[in-house]
Amino acid sequence: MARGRIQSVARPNSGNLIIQILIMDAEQKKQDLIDFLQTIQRPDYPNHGIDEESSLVESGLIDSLALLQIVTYLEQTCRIDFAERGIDPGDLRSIRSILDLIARESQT
Amino acid sequence: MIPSVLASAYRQIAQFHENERLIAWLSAQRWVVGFTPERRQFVLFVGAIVAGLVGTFYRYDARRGTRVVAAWLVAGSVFIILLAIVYSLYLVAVHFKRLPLIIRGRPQICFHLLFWLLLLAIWSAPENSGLWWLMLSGVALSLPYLIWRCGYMLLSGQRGKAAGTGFRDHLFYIWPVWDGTNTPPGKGHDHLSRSVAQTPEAYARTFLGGIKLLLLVALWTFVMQLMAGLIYGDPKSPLKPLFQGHSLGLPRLKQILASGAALPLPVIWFSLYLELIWETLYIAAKGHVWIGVLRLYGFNVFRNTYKPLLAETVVEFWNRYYYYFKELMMEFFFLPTYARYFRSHARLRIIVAVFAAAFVGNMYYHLLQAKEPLVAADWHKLWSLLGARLVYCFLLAGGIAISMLRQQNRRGKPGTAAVLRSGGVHRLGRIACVWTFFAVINFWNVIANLTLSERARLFLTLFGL
Repeated sequence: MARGRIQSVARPNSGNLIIQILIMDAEQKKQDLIDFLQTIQRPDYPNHGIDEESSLVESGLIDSLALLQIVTYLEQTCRIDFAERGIDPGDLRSIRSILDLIARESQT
Repeated sequence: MIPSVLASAYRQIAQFHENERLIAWLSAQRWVVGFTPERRQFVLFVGAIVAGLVGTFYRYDARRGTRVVAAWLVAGSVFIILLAIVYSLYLVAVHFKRLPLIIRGRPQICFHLLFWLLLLAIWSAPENSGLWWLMLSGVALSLPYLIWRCGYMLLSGQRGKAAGTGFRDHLFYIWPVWDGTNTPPGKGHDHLSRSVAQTPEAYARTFLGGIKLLLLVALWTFVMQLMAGLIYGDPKSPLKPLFQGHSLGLPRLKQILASGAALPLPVIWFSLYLELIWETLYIAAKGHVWIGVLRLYGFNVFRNTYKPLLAETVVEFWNRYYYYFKELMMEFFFLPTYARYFRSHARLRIIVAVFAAAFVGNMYYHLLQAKEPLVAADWHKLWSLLGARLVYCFLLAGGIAISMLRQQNRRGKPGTAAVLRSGGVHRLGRIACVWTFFAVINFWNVIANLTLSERARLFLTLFGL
């Protein structure tokens, strides 16, 4: 798991390395998320990508039902426990908000 | 050549709210620049107090049917109690993290339990047993309007988004000047604060969007009057004289139910479909008023109804028909169930969550909506209002669950298999199936003085049984 990778290299006196790995890890998570979104995007969505801030549903990339698949993805790959914290559709609004959620949950 | 010119002209007129020159002109107007988000919110805050006061007096008067001084005194007291309840809930939302664990875990259930305790107190006291009983029943009659709105405020607290907000940031959607039913159009603070127009240009854009919706209200109202005069021969339709007594004279669905369906089968089926169109126009016109006014105040929120009659799946129709009701069911019933139960059984998880929303949640919402018999503990009346709805909600939930599972299966398939066949005939076929599903289940949604078994017998006659 990506989370485990950060913990295994987090040693004292390796500040730059940790920051570098954290950045790489964040980039990897973002890429994983984009790859996943491509598997659930609407079949008729034009293939021109989407920026991080745009609403996934309003932009037409996914339909509202696909949010449930994002929840399952986050439960399985990031070990986020929605039973405890509840599902806030605002957290799943855009790529940025999902990444923020993952970052928040990694810290807790 | 001519059709493309006409199409372009139509687009320009229909999409006037996206005309950049018009937006630029409007955003330079002094009143647009001066009507800042803070000023708009202040107007809405004052409007909320007036709307709350008027709404409470209206509800109380409608029940008592009296205009004596005592009734005014009680209604005024009820308003103050309600304001105190809303303010207490605001404090709960703002200081959510400091609440006891049991409340933090299930804030909505705790709030609803308080409402049911209030009802128990009213039911257990003899009727009209003094001023306190009158006040309590007044509060109970008003709470169904506030309960979901306050629920959104609690959700905001639960999600940590209420901290640092003022009472003014919440009151305006709890007693909104744009009114609405017990369903809050525009949802609550989280959604509204995200969608507020911050610049004159964004406000001008949103304002024009609001104007467009209000124009659509006029159009849909006209079409409904046309239907009333031409199809139903409704004597109350102002357009009836235009047709000089000519009309198809088709019955409304409630008339069919009242008559025991003693009509030819094609007429009944035609009426079922027309009822669906009528209901859609009605809900669209109502919803466009709410969202239109919201947009005039700078909230760029989704329409309540968006072309549901073009939906190609049941779940898409439900999403487009009454968006804010669906959102309410999603946020208060579907998502909590989905997050907690059957997490390792993907299909069962969806089915249970759909039934929690479209069946349990839907029934519960309408139970609270039947506030008069509920407060009066008139179980017979409640059953006559809601008995058939049990079947309606069950069929609706079943249809949505199947539609969701089918859609999810389709999404999982790679390449072209994932795309619905997009030919005109196939598309029309899918739309017709959706119309038929909702037209048929609506048979159980129309209030009529029939027992369940009588209605079931009539229902079977639709299929020649």
